[in-house]
Amino acid sequence: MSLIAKKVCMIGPFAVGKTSLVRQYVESLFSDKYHTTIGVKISKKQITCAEQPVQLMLWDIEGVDAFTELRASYLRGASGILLVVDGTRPATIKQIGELRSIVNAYLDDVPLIVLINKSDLLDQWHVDESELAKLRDEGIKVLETSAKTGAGVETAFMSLTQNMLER
Amino acid sequence: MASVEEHDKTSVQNDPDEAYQQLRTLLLGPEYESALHDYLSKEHDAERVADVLAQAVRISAKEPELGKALAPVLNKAIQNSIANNPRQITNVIFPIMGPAIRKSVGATLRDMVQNLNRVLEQSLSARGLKWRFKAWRAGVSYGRYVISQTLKFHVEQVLLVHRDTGLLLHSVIDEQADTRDPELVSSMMTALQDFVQDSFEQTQNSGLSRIEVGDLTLHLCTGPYAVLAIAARGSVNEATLEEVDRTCEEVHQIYAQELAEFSGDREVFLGTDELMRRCLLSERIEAEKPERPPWMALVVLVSLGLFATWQIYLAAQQSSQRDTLRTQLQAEPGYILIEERLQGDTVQYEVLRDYRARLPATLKAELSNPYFDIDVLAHEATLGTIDLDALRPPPPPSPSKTERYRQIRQAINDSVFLFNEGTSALRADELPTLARTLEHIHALTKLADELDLPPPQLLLLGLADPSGSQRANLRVSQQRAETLRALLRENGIDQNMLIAWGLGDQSAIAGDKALQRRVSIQVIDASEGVVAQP
Repeated sequence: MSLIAKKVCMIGPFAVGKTSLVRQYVESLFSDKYHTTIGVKISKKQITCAEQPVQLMLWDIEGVDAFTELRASYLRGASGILLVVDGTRPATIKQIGELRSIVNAYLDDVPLIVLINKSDLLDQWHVDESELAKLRDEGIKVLETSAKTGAGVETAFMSLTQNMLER
Repeated sequence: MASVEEHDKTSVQNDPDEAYQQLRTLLLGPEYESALHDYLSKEHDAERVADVLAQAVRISAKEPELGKALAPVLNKAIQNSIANNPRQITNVIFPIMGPAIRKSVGATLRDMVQNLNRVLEQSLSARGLKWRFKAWRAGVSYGRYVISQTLKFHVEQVLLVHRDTGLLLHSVIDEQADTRDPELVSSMMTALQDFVQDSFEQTQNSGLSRIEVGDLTLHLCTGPYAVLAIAARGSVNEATLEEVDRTCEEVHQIYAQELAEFSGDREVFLGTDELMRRCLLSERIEAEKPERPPWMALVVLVSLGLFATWQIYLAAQQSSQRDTLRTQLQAEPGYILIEERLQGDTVQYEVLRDYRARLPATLKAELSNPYFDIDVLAHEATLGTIDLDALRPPPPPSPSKTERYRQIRQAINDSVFLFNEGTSALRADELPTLARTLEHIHALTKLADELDLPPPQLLLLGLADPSGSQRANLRVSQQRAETLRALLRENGIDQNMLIAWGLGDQSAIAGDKALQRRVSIQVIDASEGVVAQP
């Protein structure tokens, strides 16, 4: 089967560990400096899902905080979204709704997966399960990941790719 | 009347189609029916189109659209035709294939000489060495340095990028360029465009058209669905930029639907390769002068030719020198050449040498030449055919007995034993000769005793005819000599008197082959001084 290419955007609040999360799993030419200059760093990852080889072009968009808003134009043409938050910072989990509304305003119903990062720090975990349950009720997949151990990263890519191919 | 009207009204109400039909027939008459039939029948459609098809094609041929529309149909038709009947297409293209191949081979050879010349010029000329050094100092590959020095500009990559997703649809890369991952580059380029558009609040259709980094420039042509970008070193000329715009438009025209519906499958864009390759342009700084002969290549080729000729000449000279040496050696009195061997630069001659003949060292000095070292490996023997009168000492004391001795000796020397072809068995008709020779030998021994001479020795020289290999001939000649020795021994001749020697074939002895398969006898004695011929 011929290789299919898909654009995937990775968004999330500031310093939730997005870049570290994928660093070991992707190929890249560019240094992390690109984040601070143009606000995005692009890498690629090849994955095979149900015998279909897929080339994911991963747009790692800089973190959002009080001073930086999400540069929505980078979302254009994306086939899937990875929304990363930090399990040890409840504030970041509260931002999920806000980020989702930006995505929904810009893209027509693309698959989105929420990744709760830093699952290796479970003792400092402050996750309001009711909020996650609300997301799950809406049909949003929520996965736990760890940049440190790499847990859940491959599953996240595979799950998102599967959702994208089903469209 | 009222009832008729009533009836008509009802029928119209019942079937309005029928009434409409009636009205049409009344108004238009029977011609209408046939016109309608013609209009509905596909058969007539086909006839009508067939009438004007040729003319329509002729008119449309002026516009490029018809060619583009027909291209996929024609491709499919040709594919089918080849698949169904390959012979037919072979017959059609056969007459053009030959000349085309010849032309292509000619062009390739010409290019090869030109390229060889360029490589030689670049690697051997002072300029080439200087560039190599500069490239090394600048830390770039030599190839890239040469391009930067000889080309005004050089398009290294052409990228076709989907505008929304930033995904690379297709790319063509010049083989001499060292490029990074075009997929990542194209995505980053899109991000950069978005960044610029956002930052300076540009509209969607006025994105970046040029990005310059050092001597590398990205030129972007932005279409509604895709961006065609070229990465070039040096300053690109106007014609190239026009070509990029044209290609971008053409890609949009041909792939409009695929671009609009793009969902990640890039295989459909493989066909853009040919279009995009047109943008891989470059311009030389010094206009190439095709009329200038490729001197470097010619010099190298001519030198190779001269070297080869010299080698052939040398080989011929050496071969002729060896012939001369062989003839000289064969003509030397008292020498019989057994074998000639070439070992490196030395020619070794194995010879039988009469002990009265000139010394091997003297001969060696005489044979010396610029081509070979000479080595003479001599086996001492007494050979009867030498005329060595000058060497002979004073006359014999007892003329009558010595005269007899000389006669018998001559008779023995004259005796010849013939053999059958390829064997070492003596011919049956030679037995009388054997008997006569035995008598002679006995008499000679007796006379030698009486004359107080040391007992004579007999050198039995075996020969073979020239058919067969030299090695085989040598062997059979040796066996023949041995056979005769055995026969003589069995008949009472002291074996110490007998020396058997095979000489192989001595092609110097011309004549009947039967006579060449023989053993002759040479009497070796110390009687030269005593029984010399008068």
